[in-house]
Amino acid sequence: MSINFIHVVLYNLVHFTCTVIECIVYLLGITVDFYHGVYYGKHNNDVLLQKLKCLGKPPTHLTVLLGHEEPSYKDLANIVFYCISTGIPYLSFYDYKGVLKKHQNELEYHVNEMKSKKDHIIWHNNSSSVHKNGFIGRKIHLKVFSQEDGQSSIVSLCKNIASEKIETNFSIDSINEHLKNHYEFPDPELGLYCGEVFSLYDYPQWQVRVTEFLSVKSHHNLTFELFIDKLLRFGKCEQRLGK
Amino acid sequence: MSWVVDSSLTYCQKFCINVLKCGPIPRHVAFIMDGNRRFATKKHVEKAEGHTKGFDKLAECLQWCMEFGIKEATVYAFSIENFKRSKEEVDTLMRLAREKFKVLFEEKEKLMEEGVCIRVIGNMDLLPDDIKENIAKTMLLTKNNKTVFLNVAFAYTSRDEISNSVKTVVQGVKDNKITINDINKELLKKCLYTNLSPDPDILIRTSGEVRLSDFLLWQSTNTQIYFADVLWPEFTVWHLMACIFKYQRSYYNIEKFKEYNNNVRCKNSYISEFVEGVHRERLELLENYVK
Repeated sequence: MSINFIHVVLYNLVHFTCTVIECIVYLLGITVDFYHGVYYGKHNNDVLLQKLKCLGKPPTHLTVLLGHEEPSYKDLANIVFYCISTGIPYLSFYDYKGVLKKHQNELEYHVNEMKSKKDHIIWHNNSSSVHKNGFIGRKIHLKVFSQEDGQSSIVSLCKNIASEKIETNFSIDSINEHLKNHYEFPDPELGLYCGEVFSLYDYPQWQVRVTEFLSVKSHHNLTFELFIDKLLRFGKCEQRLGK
Repeated sequence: MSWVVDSSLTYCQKFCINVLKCGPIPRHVAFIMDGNRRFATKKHVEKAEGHTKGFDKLAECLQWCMEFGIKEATVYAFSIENFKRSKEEVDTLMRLAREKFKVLFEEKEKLMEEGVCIRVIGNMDLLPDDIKENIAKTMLLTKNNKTVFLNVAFAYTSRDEISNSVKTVVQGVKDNKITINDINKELLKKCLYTNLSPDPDILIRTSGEVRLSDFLLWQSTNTQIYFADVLWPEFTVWHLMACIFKYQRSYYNIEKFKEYNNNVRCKNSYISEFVEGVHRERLELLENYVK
């Protein structure tokens, strides 16, 4: 038996075992989620309140990267209200496939179902959305990004500069200012990514220079508790900005 | 210590590498080598000692990459933002760089023998002349080597790189070498400092930080990014193996995105000419540094 054969057998064995373990963990996860759902509210509220007390300053802009996942509008609407209740002023979703952008009305529907009168939601993709000034109450800015906001936005900026529609001295600050006009939001401070692996999938790259990225496995059934855990983890991240 | 070191792997480690090599292996791996100073603090030694240890780890890590058959590595050695650190530390880092780039050029026989191509990516204008000279000499000497590639990001940030690429393209339009309609992702990519490299398949950031810190933002569109919770000087071959194993686990997921993104490239000869011109100008600049 050649040594190469042993390598191949072992390689396949290791990957196979890993797949089996992943399946078991996945099934266990579903069961745990189910029981968690049953008991939730009885035991965990106190812990949650405790955690909320420890919460420092929330990120100004939280962005959620869906990865390969199909959007679940109800769960995304939940995230909107998690953000409102923790005082996050800007929230964005990134779905490279553009499904979410195309079906934004479904998300809007779910959000409107859940919102109370004192919540004010400012949709940034929707030009018809009214920007009320002087609104008292809870307010959040929302925007959906897709792949056309990634490298393509830099390409179109470059075209606009070349055709002299836009003037620039090519400094980072000047380019930044022009790209910001398109992106509209402040640079995200926290990015939550779905899926086991992290990849940007052409997320607007200019803006994620110092974004902290944390994994949430999936946005489907994302619980408030897990959301708070991520915010707590974020609060501990100290930024050194190259210094 | 030199850049090209002998393999320090045990028999067992080599065996595991050979097992992993039965699956897909990344072609290009990028590293953010973070944690040298925290390592120094942890071990109660000077910061400079931490940076030296970090460099030694780099040489070792390149050896592991070769063992895996990884063709190309890109490392983040010094960010433009790092110039904001204390003068003392910047001086130490520059001294280390001066020494290491000198050693690198002195190792030219080894580099040529192994077929190593060295490229330094970043805004070279920000560097002292003598460092520029040594970098330029090494880059020019090894520019035709094709076995393995090492890109050292020095005085680099991605935003600086992208701005520079936009500037180059706009200049090309002004000089009537290309038209506005030729501007696309591909062209901008070809004008980045990394114009000759394919995108990295994996990006590894050590020290448990979960940020990209302005590194290869444009290039890592399809890249799998890993945050390893270990300080760079303590990074071992097992960590690298773990990253490659995870890469294999999700290989098909990322390939799916690449296929999805497979846009048609239409290329006109005058565009390639423009891109080659940009490259030629850069080589001329390097030659100027040597003079």
